[in-house]
Amino acid sequence: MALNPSSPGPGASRLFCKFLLVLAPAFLVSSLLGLSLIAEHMAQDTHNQLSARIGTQAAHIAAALGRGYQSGDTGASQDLLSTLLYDPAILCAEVRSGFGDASVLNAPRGLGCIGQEQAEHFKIPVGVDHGKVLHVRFSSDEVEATRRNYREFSLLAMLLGLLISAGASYIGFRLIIGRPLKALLHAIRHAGTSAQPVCVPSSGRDELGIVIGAYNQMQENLFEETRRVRQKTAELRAERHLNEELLSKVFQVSPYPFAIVDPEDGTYHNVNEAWLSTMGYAREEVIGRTAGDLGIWISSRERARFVDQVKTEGSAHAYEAKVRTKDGAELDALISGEHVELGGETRLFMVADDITELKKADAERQRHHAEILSAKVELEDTNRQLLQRTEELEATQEALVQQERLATLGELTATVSHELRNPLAAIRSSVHLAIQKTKGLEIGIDRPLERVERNVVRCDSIISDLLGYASDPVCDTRHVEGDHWLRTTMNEFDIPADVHLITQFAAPNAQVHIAPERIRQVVVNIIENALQALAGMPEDEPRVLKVTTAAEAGSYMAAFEDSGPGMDAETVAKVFEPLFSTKSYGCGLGLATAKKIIEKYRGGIRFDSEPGAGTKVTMSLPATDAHERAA
Amino acid sequence: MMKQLEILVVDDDRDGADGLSEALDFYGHSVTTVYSGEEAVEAFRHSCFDVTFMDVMMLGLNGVESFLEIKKIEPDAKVYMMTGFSARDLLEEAVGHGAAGVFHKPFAIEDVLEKVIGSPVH
Repeated sequence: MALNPSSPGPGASRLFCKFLLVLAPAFLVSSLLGLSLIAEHMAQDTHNQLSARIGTQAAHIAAALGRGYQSGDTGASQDLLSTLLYDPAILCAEVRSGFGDASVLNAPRGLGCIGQEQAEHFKIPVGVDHGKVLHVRFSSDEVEATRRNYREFSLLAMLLGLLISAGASYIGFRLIIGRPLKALLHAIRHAGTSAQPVCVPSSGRDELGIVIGAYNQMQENLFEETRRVRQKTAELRAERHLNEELLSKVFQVSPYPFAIVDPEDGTYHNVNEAWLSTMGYAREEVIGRTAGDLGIWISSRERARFVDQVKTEGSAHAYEAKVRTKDGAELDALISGEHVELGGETRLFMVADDITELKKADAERQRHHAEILSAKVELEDTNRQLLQRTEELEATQEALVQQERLATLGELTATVSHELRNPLAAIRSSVHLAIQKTKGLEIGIDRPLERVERNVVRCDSIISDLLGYASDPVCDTRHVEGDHWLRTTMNEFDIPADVHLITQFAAPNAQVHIAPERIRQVVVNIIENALQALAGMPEDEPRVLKVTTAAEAGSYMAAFEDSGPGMDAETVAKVFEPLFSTKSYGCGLGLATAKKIIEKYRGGIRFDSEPGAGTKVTMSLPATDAHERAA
Repeated sequence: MMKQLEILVVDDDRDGADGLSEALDFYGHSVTTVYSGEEAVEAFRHSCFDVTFMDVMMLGLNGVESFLEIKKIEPDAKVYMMTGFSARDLLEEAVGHGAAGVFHKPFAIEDVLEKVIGSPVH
């Protein structure tokens, strides 16, 4: 839009304006200078005229005075001087002699010529008497007055010129700068308020014109930019409106409880149907009230933490909390919240997910899981027990098979033993009789008969070993104090005198549940082995049998340690095998029988030996503490 | 001087019975030998014996049954049981009813003499 073109156009009037603005003041200044020069000139003229006039007059008077002195008529001279002094321009007139005496002829001003420095001065010789000079001083006031008049006139003219110049400048400024500037200011003030770009008419190619051109360009750019911004804003508004509409619909129809609350005090501004149905409130009971009023959050501290998190982090997601419905039911919820700008206000937008059923299901699942785990553990336990039981059964079966085998063997052995011992008995008694009857006959039959008797005993010993291993006689079991029983049993042995027996009974309270006769057999077998090992030792070697006992972790331990020659590992590995023997006699059933018996009473036997380091046989039996048993 | 005893030896193993009898006889005792429990009981019906050596395992009346029968005839009879193997129940029963002792075959004659000489004579 172009403004009203009240300013002069770019033609003659504009040139005129520039003329007014630039040339008029120059013209005026030069005129004033001219006026000033004229005034000076005229003042000089006046001065010259005055000097001429007074000079002429003084010359006339001086001539008259000369003539008066010549004639002696000094009065006339005085009169002449008086006449001169009537001139207003004359300050004083005096005649001075050449000898220094001054004769003031006339001093009408009363002060003579003293102090009249500025006065013009004429010295005119009085003709008759050389040495006498007429001094005339006249004032330049008149000249000065004239000069002043002219100066005042010049000043006035200058002021007038300045006024005219200022006026012309003002008019020129108004015409050249003021109007376009006003139009520009107007355009600037109204920029952005109009539907069209506010352009200022160009004022030519001068600086202002360039500024206005730039302004117009800026205005057009601005307008274009504004137009684009407005368009974009309109689009955004439309989009926002759509979004708000969408949000509103989502808010209302969402199956999730939504709430818009005041972030500071928790006042509910809006809630959706899902929120109302979940929490059991009517809308009017909620809007305008706070979460605190309604007691929604079971823990106000949790709510404060949630709000703090939203404040500090901008949002909170899936915050787990417990909320209370109107009827007092407690719900588990995952609450998310975010700050949103609604209608220029900051609101806390919250959405909740009721996970009560989920949590119940989860708890149920965990319970099931625990049950399954428990059942699994139980099953594993049962399985383990089953495996153990199976192993036991297998062991039992094996033992039964073994027992059956042994029973058969035992039966056979018993029968054979009986059948063998009867003839052995007959042989023994018969040999005894033979020995007795041939005693003293010196027929060389003694030693063979004794050999027969000795071997009968050996046969009996073998039969005893076989019976001990193969048969499983039924024996009474009872609780005995281990140490007491073993001490008694040891006393029954006929320990050779060259064997140093050391006993250390250190389990006085251990009680074992055994068939003493059977375990006695074990001890017998062990001791016999030890004594046989010691018997084979060189005579200078010490023969020590050490018996020690101890109670350890529910077991009664009895160790039999001999200082015999010991055995290598290969032999040790076979000592419990039936029919294994390191001796030239015996059928190798002693330790096998001992192991069989001790295992029957849930005990164990261990054989430690090294060549040159003796042998240690340790038997263990389940034990209880006598004190505990008594208690 | 060893006192002469009236001894009854009972064993169905004839060699065993004779061997023991002859040995005891050698030491000057009066020995009667029978080869079954029934004969032993019958012998007690007609005679008295200071000591009896009775085998346990015999056909017919076994040693313990015979001992019990003999105890009916002669309650104070001194009977030693002889056995080839541990017939534990029978031996316990016999000892329980007053058997004088048990000799395990093959026993030494010296042991028998030592025990029997030291025992009171009926």
